[in-house]
Amino acid sequence: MLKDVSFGQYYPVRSFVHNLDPRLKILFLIAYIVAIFLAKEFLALGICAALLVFGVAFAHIPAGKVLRSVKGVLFLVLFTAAINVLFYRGKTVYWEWGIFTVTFEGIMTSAFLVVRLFLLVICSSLLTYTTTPVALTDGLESLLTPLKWIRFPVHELALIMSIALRFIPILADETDRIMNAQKARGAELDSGGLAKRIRAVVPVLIPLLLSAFRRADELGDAMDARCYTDGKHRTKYKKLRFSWRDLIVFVLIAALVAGVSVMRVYPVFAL
Amino acid sequence: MRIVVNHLNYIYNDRSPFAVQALKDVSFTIEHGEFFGIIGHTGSGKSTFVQHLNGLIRVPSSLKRKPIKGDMTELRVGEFDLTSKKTDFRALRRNVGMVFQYPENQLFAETVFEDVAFGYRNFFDGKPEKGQVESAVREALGIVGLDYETVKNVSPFDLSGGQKRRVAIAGVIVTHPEVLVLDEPAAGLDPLGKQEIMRLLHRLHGSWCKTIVVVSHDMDEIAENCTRVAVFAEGTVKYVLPPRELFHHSEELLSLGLDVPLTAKLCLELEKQGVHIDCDYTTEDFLRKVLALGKGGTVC
Amino acid sequence: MKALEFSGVCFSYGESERPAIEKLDLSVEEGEFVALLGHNGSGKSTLARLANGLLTADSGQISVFGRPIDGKNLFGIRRDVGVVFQNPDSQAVASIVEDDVAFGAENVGLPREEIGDRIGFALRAVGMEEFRTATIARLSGGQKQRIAIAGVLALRPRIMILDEATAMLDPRGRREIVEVVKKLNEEGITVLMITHFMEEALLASRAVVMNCGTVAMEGTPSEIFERHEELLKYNLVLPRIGYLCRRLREGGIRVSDTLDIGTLAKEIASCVS
Repeated sequence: MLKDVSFGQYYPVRSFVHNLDPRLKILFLIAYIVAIFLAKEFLALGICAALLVFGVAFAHIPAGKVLRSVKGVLFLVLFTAAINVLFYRGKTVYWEWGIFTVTFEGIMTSAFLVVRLFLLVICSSLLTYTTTPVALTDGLESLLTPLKWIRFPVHELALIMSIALRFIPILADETDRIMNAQKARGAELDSGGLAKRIRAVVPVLIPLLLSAFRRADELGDAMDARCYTDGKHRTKYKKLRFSWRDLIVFVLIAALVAGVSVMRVYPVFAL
Repeated sequence: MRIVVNHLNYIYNDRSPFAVQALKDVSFTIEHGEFFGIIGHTGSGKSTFVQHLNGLIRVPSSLKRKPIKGDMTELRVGEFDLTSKKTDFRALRRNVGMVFQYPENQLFAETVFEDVAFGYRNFFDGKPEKGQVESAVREALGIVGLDYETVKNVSPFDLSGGQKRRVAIAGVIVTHPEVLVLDEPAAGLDPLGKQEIMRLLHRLHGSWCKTIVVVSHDMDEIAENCTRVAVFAEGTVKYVLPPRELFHHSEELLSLGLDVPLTAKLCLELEKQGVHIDCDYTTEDFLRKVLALGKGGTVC
Repeated sequence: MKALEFSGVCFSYGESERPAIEKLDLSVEEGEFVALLGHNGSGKSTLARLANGLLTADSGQISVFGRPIDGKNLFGIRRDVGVVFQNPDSQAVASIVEDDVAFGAENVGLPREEIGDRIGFALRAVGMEEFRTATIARLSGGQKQRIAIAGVLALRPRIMILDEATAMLDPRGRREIVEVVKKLNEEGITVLMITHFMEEALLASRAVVMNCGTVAMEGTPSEIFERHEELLKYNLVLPRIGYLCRRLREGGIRVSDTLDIGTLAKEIASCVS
């Protein structure tokens, strides 16, 4: 049940993409998002899409798995696209009815939007498929390190993220157990009106909160017992290192953003 | 109520790369009035099995339509056919009480009274009168060995560990279920707390919970209390036998990595010394047989 | 040398509460394996938390290898006194085994290479070296507790306290932990094992029974289990094998108060044949 809401959804295989530095993958995602929103023509978007296809192929992620990540947002994307088609005011009008107009420009913008959103979703799931939650946290911590200068608690934030990642599946399990126990006592958790459902949540929520507090307390003790203080004199076992693979990808990112920016200024095929 | 299980299979995450078959062709029967034990390692399928008994895990309907190897899955608890979608699962749950591991973790109400009354109100057809609720809660607390007047207005969270557990059990048996299923009811308690839980189970067995199914790791308790025992290993049922026969297979159980009662271990060791004791593996019977030998008598 | 010494220690969780520890005197020699018994609420867990400064005594003195705990040396005390707690699911900080084992060593600021060595050492000590990059959530209860022990071992403590570390495990998990603890003790670590399982106490060189926050009985496990009436008074029961020995003797079969199954079987065999 709740466990099926896969969190982090890391796909455990060995691949070129899996081995990349997590910081680089996070940067790549950001650069990629910038690129697809800068892209103004289909050629530019096509390049972005092709790059992503290579990425997925190099990551050894089955296509079905990638498409499934798109399925989750399919309705939202199509709905937005439909709104766009119907309300965009362009010059080449095909059809008109009341406030609704279908224009060539509208169709084109919608198509762009759909492709952009799909690429966005696929690229971010490529990141989570190929990077363990721990590596992701480490990468973020490392990228945010400059913020330590303004006394932003980067280390604490990273620790909180890593603990959250560790406890989410445990608490999901616990929720399952408590729900089952209350169902066995005749609680009806999935029927009745809104008021009834809200009331039905109490017997699950209270034990869950108590359990979370208890665990927090226990974890706190276990951390103290292992000499946890404020992280000032802390060392880190895992160091993130750049390798030649990372360099290649870094060059690719730079080329991508530069290329798309150039195409924005000097369009190859004007719309 | 008689529990009949035939060709029961269960797969977690069916049709995904993470599929795990938790139950493989499980078949046996628990008779009305039994004090039935279930043993096996964590992950042997025993918890998955017991959750079937009150419909918390349903038999997937596809299994019914397309039976594995042509054998029809059957799962009945008394009159209830658990493979049918039309079954009244509410009525089933009223009749099959389920005590999970560490049941005190499900307590939520402000007072012991309200917590115990929760199940009673849920399962009552219509709205129960105040007097009805009160007498049901009083009776349930009584049988788990708590004094109604002392604890009814106390917050369940202020009680000791053993008391909390008894309140949680009271909250399950308050509806007078005919079958009571317990998953390691004594886990984590101190030795006296454990003894108290076993005494409580016998009191329940003698009153309204006619059939008791208990999952346990404590082989001594199993040997002392159970009429029959099912041994789960890797999703299958290896044995369904009364303790006196089951622990004849002690060596095999040990090789499965399971424990055996102290009496069975002693019988094995004595066998090595050339002394054969034929007992039913309860402490009393073992003592009787050994003492009889000591007095020069023979053991039958 | 005394590894751990409590003298006249009192502690209560709040002004109005009954004291959890009252005038406690207890000392543990270096290299000892002490089992700490007592019913729920007898003060065992409080004792564990006092011993490494998670709680501070109201009065009296607690010393670790001759150094009194004073609030300023907590860091050093905690490096020496490792504690493993009850719940296998709420002690790990990270999701991956090696990251979690590294946590303590990172906290005390060890250099990277040293941490790597310590992870290797700690995982070997608990027999989990092949799980170095495994996900903790996928391990069994016994394995999770072994990782918790490894996380403590990475700090190279001289005393290891197990606060009912086997209470939530199945028999297989309990056996795993007991074996690891026995081995660690043989390698020189002082062990204080808090447990409900009378059978586990049999492994210790000394058993201490607590009641109402103070030491009620002390001696070798077999000495303790001979005093069964007294045990009952403190809400404890004999291990089953002790009970059998007593009943056999009452029935006229002269067996000693052994706690070993093989020995008992031999004694019975020599009496009846």
